[in-house]
Amino acid sequence: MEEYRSPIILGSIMLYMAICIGVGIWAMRRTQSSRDFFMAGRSLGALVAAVAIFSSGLSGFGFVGGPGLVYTTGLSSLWMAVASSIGYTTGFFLLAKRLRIVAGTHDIVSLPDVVAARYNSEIARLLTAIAIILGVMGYLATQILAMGVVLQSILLASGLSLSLIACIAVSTGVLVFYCVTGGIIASVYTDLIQGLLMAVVGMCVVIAANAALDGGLAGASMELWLDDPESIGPFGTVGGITSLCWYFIFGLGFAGQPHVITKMMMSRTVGDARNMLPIAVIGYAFAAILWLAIGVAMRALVIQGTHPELTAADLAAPEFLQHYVHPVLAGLVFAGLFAAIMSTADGFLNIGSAAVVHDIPTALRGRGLDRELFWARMATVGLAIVAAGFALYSYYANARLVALLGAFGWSTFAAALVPVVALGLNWKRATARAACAAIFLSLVVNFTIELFNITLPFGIQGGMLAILSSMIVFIVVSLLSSQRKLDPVIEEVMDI
Amino acid sequence: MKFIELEPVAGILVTFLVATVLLISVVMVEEPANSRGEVHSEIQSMRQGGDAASRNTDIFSQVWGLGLSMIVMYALFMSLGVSPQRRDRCLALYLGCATLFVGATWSALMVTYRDSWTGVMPPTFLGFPIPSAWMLYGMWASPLLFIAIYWFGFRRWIFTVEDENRYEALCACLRSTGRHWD
Repeated sequence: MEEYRSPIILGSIMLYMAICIGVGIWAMRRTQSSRDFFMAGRSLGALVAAVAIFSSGLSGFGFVGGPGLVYTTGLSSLWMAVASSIGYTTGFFLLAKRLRIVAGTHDIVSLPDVVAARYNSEIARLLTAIAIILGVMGYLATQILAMGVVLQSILLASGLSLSLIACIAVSTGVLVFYCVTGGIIASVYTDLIQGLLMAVVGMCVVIAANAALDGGLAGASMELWLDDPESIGPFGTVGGITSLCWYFIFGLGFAGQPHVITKMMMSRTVGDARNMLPIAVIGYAFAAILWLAIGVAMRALVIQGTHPELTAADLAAPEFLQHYVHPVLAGLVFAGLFAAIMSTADGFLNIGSAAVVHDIPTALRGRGLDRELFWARMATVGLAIVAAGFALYSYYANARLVALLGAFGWSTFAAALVPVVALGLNWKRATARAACAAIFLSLVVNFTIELFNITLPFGIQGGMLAILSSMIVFIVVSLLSSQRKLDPVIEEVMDI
Repeated sequence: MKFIELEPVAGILVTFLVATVLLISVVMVEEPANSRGEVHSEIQSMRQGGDAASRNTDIFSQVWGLGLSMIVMYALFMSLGVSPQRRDRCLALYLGCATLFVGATWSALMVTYRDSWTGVMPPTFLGFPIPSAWMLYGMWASPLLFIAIYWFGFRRWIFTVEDENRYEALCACLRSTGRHWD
């Protein structure tokens, strides 16, 4: 079986891509309008919506970057995953009911539509759309690059040599195909497959990691303790302040991630939220446990001398899968890795195309583009091409570009959208002026910290500063600015 | 029955200000060389934390306080998500108890972590040293209490029958004006 490892891995990924293409073709028949393309006709069951939520939130980072960080810094990065349970719960309390009711009482196909309805402000809609596009570009570029790099390394291990450009073209081609044909319907149903796959392989990898080490994970803990107690301590090597910043950013920030919370608007009924929350939290935990298991295992294996030192931290997961896991499980995990990357990327493509063809035109001229469905499909292709271009440019010429765009990622969405959407939909005193101020400040703070490479003492994260400042500004400006009378429908929605 | 009419937003603002003050007080402490870890002495691709006491003693209270303020903040956000007319004493009691439990879990993590600075390996629980076990199993799982409040209390606090009727009445009204989209 060992001699078939590479073909099994490659075959698993090809099979997974074929499934995505099949789902895209199936979903194309159900996509008849831009409302179907962006909102799935608000027809999702609780299980589909819940799995789509957690699989959109857990990108390839949970399969590659996360284990790499555990390998490098010990348990520190696990605070991003630990934050999920309290973050998802907070997000559901704040948004699940409200977003679904707003979507049912207004002509909503995107989050900027929600912002415009809440504040009766086209400027707020425009700023939200701009923040989304900037974040989408950064996230998409990193996801597309990750897909290409992983596919290239798998092909090399199988004895096939393909350029990075070709690998990006193949993987992005599949992604774009099902996003263009089936829109958000294809996206959420591939998310369902992806999420279930991620949850299953996560648990299997824990078992494999336990078996790979003398004494299992307990033995690995001892190994890490003897080498450096802080690495296996609750805050890892980065320390308590950075760990808590991540607990804050990734917990509260959940309620500001547009690719995740828009799925709350797609459920069949308001009451579905009740079951969506526990499914999403538990599914995420099952999938994210792989992050811990592989990272701890690889750190221990290298410290023991059983495995040579890694040349790059991001090789922790691929190396573990190549050497310590049954070939079939390795194939599933690599397919799961692609699934994780695609489940995030497809969400971004969809909200990005909505921003381009619906939100920005509506903000500027009062309505979306004519033939909105057609232009949504064109915008999906265009965004993918631009993001792929950024990815390749950063890889070959200027790595700072993607890092800069990447700054417009989780933290920026959190700083911009948590006050504007999560707080704004639950607090009548919030004003349009405060919403605009919060979005503007979030972009400026995040961009400035990244552009000038500002490093804060004790590892204080810039994202935390951005969120704290935008939230405080949002509340203070709301209290100081005059409040416009709320639209009666919005007022009724906020009273329910 | 309604409980005190304290606006959750005011409480949230207070927790943000507390967090800001704590972070400012951290910045004012002289930062030890290994506060963010350092390159591993033998394995270049790894980092190590070094001496725990030297890098944590001066900011220990701030870290503890920061964690507690975040937990309270999350609970206040959850209460904000419940409509004012549904916020009763029972909800306050349950949210309060869940907050105390998560706060106690966090405090147990901090106390056992401080005790581990002696360099003697603490006992383990399900594969991890006790302080890390508090983090992984405690901090990750304890919010299940809040999830239980949400799930069991959904029809009492989140989306009651009255809310549902009100929503359907609103939809019917909008439908009659040609504005309904559900």
